[in-house]
Amino acid sequence: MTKIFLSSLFISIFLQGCGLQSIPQAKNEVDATLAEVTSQYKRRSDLIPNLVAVVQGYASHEKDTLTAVVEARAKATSMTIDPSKSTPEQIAAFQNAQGSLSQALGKLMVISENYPQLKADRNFSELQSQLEGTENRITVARNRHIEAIKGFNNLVTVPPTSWTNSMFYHHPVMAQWTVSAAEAEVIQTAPKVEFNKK
Amino acid sequence: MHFVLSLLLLILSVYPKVGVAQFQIPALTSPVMDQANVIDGVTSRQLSATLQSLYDSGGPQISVLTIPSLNGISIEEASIKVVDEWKLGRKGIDDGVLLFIVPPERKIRIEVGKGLEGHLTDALSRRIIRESITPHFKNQDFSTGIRNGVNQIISVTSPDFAKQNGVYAERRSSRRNLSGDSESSMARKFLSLFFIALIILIAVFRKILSIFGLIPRSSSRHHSGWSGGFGQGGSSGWSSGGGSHWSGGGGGFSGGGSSDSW
Repeated sequence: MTKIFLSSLFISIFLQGCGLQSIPQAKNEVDATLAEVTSQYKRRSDLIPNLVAVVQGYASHEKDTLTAVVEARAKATSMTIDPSKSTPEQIAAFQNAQGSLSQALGKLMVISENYPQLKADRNFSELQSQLEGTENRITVARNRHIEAIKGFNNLVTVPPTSWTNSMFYHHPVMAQWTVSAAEAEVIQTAPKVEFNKK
Repeated sequence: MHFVLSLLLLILSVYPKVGVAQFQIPALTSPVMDQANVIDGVTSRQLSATLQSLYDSGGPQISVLTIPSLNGISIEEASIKVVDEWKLGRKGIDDGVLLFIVPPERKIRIEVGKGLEGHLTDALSRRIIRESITPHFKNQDFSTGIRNGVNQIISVTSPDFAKQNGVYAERRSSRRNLSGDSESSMARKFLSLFFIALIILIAVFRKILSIFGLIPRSSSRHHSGWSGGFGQGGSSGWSSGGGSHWSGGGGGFSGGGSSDSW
């Protein structure tokens, strides 16, 4: 009896600590957080047609900037990733497309500063706050994804769970989500997008 | 002793996370966490009581936090850290809201739980901040601004509770507030009188019955059981109404809401 008890205790501890459970769980967490990232990017794309329409009403001769946004959006929405079977190349392409959309949007918001009537428009200010909120959601989702990848990589590389991985799962280390060059530029100019009151 | 010490050292060396935290998240103990000391005592108590009874009645979990400094990070970053730690709102329903204010840095944010993003949208959060809160902050009147903001958030997220409790934002307060208040207090008085009368009637009736022997003589046991039940009901009502139990319910946030400065 005690033998059975002890062995079951040992097995349960072994199961908990060795990564048999935690490695697949961490993988699922990475997939789920990636899905959240893509859904927040989608939310942003959904806002853009209305935003472009409103800006066009007041600043129709800013054609270049507006078409840049529309084109970048078209490119970004044509690129989708399936979180559970995404390749690093796919993700990089996705990031690039979203990055150039961020850049184009950033320029649009900077330009809108020059049009007092546009800024006073109620629709525009609501869309602007939605866009800001969505950008923040993207940041949050991305940070959670980065944390999830970190957790997964820790399990895969740090003993004792790494031994389990090399015995059973053979997961490679996951590439960390990086900020694309286009996006980095937007991040540096981000204060212009936010809190642009006066 | 040496063994224990070396074990501790080993544990510390394996977990080198014990560093200097740049941004301290206070422990959640009350609906109104005024770390920056800008809310007056009366407002703070009133808000706490309202928010507590809102949460106890099955409504959203709304908290207010003021801090003296962000220590260099953005308010969005700080805010999501706070709500990830506090987990405001019920698990799965995700109906938490944080009203987060950094008075010295003139920063404010409403952080909205996942489940409330449809009601308290980013645009609406922005409007609440701009129209109800920051105009008062500009006059250094933090108590009024925060009270208005919380009332607005309540009337958006749970209109029924707002109606029942006379929670109205200042803009359309006076008339409706007065009439609603007097009506409800009349109703309450009437109800309580009715119940008292009912209890007295029942007691008298029982006494008469027991005198005539229609109820078994062990009326003392009956009586104690009955009064015990009553006492219990009363005390639980008190503890949930005025108690200080306030901790996160496990709600999730995804970064919705709005920030501004004044």
